[in-house]
Amino acid sequence: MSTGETQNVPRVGVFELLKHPKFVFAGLSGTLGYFLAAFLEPVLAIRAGEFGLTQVQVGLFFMINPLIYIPTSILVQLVPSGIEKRAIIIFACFLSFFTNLFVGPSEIFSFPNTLTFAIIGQVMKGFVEPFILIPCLPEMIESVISEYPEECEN
Amino acid sequence: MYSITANFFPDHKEEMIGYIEAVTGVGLGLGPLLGSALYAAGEYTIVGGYTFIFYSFGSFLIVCSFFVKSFFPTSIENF
Repeated sequence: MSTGETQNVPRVGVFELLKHPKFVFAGLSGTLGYFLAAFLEPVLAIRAGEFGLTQVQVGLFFMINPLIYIPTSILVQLVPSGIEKRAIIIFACFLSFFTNLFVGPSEIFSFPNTLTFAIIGQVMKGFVEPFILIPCLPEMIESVISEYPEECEN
Repeated sequence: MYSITANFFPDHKEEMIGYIEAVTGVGLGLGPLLGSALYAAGEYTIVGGYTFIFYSFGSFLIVCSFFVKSFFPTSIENF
């Protein structure tokens, strides 16, 4: 495509897209998903040390999450297409609340302060995260694609 | 990467993004394991420790950047 043709292609600006609530919701969900994936990591390394784990065991502890994350990422596509992506994201965010209670483990809910609970939390985290992160981009695209048919064709 | 994938597979966006996330997960899993093992090995051997990890993985990323230059298309049309 030449430069002249590129200039003629209608474009949609970021601020234009931000006027669509569904688009903003999906975008913020992506932000929340990565926030959930990362916010506990620095604290967990210290917590794992408190549980008496060696340096290598801490590495293995952090490997639990991706071990579940990998197969779940592939399995997300098997969710029936009839279920709205927004519903999947909302349900996964709801589940992530319980996930964080386990990872803590939560003193408010009187969960025992054991490594087992933290491991269960890591497993749950690995299961929940893909259901927040993967549907985000398709939801962002699908929420605005009907509004800008001409731009999307190009 | 995500936007290119969504562009090329408009009917299979979730499937393809799922595969990308799965591969990302491999790196997320191996990174802490390798990093902590090498860091711990630094106490006993010269192959390990913070400085070794810093320079070895940094160098590895520089090598990877050349592979990216060779293998990745310069524009979507050349894909």
